Amino acid sequence: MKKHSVIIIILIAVLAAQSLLFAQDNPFISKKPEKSVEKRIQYPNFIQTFMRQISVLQHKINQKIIELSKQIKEKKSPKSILIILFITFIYGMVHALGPGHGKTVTFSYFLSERAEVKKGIMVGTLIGFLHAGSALILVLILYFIIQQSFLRPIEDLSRIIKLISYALITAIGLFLLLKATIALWRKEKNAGKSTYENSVTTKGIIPFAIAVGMIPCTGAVIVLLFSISMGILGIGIVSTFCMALGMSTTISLVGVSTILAKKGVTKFIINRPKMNTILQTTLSIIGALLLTLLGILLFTSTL
Amino acid sequence: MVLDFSISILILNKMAITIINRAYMMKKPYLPLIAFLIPCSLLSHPHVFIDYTVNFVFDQNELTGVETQWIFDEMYSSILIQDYDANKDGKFSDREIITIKQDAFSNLENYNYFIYLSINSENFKVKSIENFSVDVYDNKVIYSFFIPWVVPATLSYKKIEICMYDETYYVDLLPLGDDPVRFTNEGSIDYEVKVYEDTKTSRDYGEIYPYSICLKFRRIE
Repeated sequence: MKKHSVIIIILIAVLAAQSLLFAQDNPFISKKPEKSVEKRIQYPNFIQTFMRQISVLQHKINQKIIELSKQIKEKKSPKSILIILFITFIYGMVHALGPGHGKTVTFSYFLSERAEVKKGIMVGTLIGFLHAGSALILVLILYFIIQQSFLRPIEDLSRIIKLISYALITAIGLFLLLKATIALWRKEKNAGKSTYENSVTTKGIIPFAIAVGMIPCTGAVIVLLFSISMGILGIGIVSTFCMALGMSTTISLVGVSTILAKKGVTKFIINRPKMNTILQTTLSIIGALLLTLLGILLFTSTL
Repeated sequence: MVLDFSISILILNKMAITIINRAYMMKKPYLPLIAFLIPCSLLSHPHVFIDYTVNFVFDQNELTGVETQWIFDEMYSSILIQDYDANKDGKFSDREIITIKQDAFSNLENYNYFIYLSINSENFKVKSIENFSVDVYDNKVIYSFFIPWVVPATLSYKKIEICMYDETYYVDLLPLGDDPVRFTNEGSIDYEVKVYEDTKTSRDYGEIYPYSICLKFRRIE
C-alpha cells in the first residue's frame, strides 16, 4: 500500500513541476507577471537536445500550414483542405500536451473526485471544445466589431477570462476540499459502518469543465487570426474544430489515465476497506489541495 | 544548484519509470501516466518563430554595438500585417512603425528583449534599443534594431557572446540559416566567430538549449 501511495505522490510532484508553465501570454504585448511563480527546472542534456528537434519539427508543421493555406486561398481543392484538417487535428493533440490546457488541473480533479472512465472522456472533450470554442467566439466577436487590430484586445480579454477561470478553479478546489473534509468527518463518526462514496455525476463535472475550458486557446487564436488575414476564415473555423477534437483526445487521455491509475491503486487493497477509505480520502484531499493551490498561484501570477 | 535539479529530475524520472514498469508487469494500469513524465511543456509551443541575423558593428578599435534583424514566420507576420498595416499598402510607414513599436515591441523590455549579452563570461543587460524599424520582405515581417554595446578591442582576445531566447518559449528564436553573422568596419580587428547550441547550464532557461553567437576578437597592431 505504502509503495503505491509513493508512486502517486511522485507523479503528483512531477506533474506539479510541469504545471509551472501555465497559460502563456504573448510577450510582445502582455506585461510580464511581477510575481514569478515559475521556478524553472534544468532538464538533462538528452531531453533538451530532443526538444530542439521537436521545435524544428514544429517549425515545419507551421510552414506546412502556411503553404497549404496559400494553396487553399488560390484554389479550394478538397485534397489540401483535408490535409490541413488532418494537420490541425494532430496540432491540437500535440498542442494540448503543453501547458495551459487544463492537463494538470484535470489530473488534480480526478485525483480528488471518484469518477467513471467515461467521465474522464466527457471532461476532456468538454474542455477541448470549450477551449477552442472560447477562442473562436472571442476572435469572431472582435472580427465583427473592430475588423482590425486583434492582438492587443485579445490579450486583454484573455487576461480577464483567465482571472475568472483561475478564481473558479480555486473555488472548485476549495469546494472539493470541504467535501473531502466533511466525508472524512462523517466516516470518523460512522466508524465501523461501511460507507460508500458516490461517483461524480455528469452535472457535477460541468462547472469544472467550464472553469478550465473557458480560457481561449492561444494556438486556436493564432490559427484563426491567420485564416482571417489570409481571407479563409471558413477553413480557419473548421480547422479550429479539428484542433478541438485533437485537444479533447489528449485531455481525455489525462483524465482517463488518472482515473485508471487511481483504480489500480485501490484494487490492491480492495479487500481492506479501512485502508481503502484512508487512501481514497488522502487522494481526495491531495487532489483538492493541489487544485486550490494551482488556482491561487495562477490567479496571483496573472493579476 | 542547477546540476542538483537536473540530477534530481533524472533520478525522479528513472525511479518513476522503474516503478511504473514493475507496476505494469503486475498488470496494473500505471503505464499511461508515464506520458506525464516527459517535460511536455514544450511540445505545444512556440507560437511564433523568429530567424535572426546579427551584425557586429565596429568603429576603429571598438565594438559599438550589434545590429539585429528578426525575421518572423509567415503566420505571425500575416497577423502583424493585418493588425498594423493600417493603409494596407503592404509595407509599414513611419507612423505604423511607431504603433508597432509601442504595441508589439517595447513590452519586450520586461523580457530583456530576449537578448542576453556577456563579455568574458560576465553577463550584461541590454540597456536600450535604437533605430527600431519594421519591413516586409517575401510575406515576412522583419524587425531591425541596433543594440548599443561598446566593447573596446584590446591586444589580447576578448570573448563576447550574444544569445537570444524567450524564456517563456512563446517565441522560438533561431539564427538564420548557416550564415547569420555579419560584420561592419571590422578592418582593424582580428576575430573568430562561432554559432553554437549553448549547452551551458548556467542559464535560467532549462528546457531547450538556445543558440548562442560567440565572437572572439582583438585589435590588430
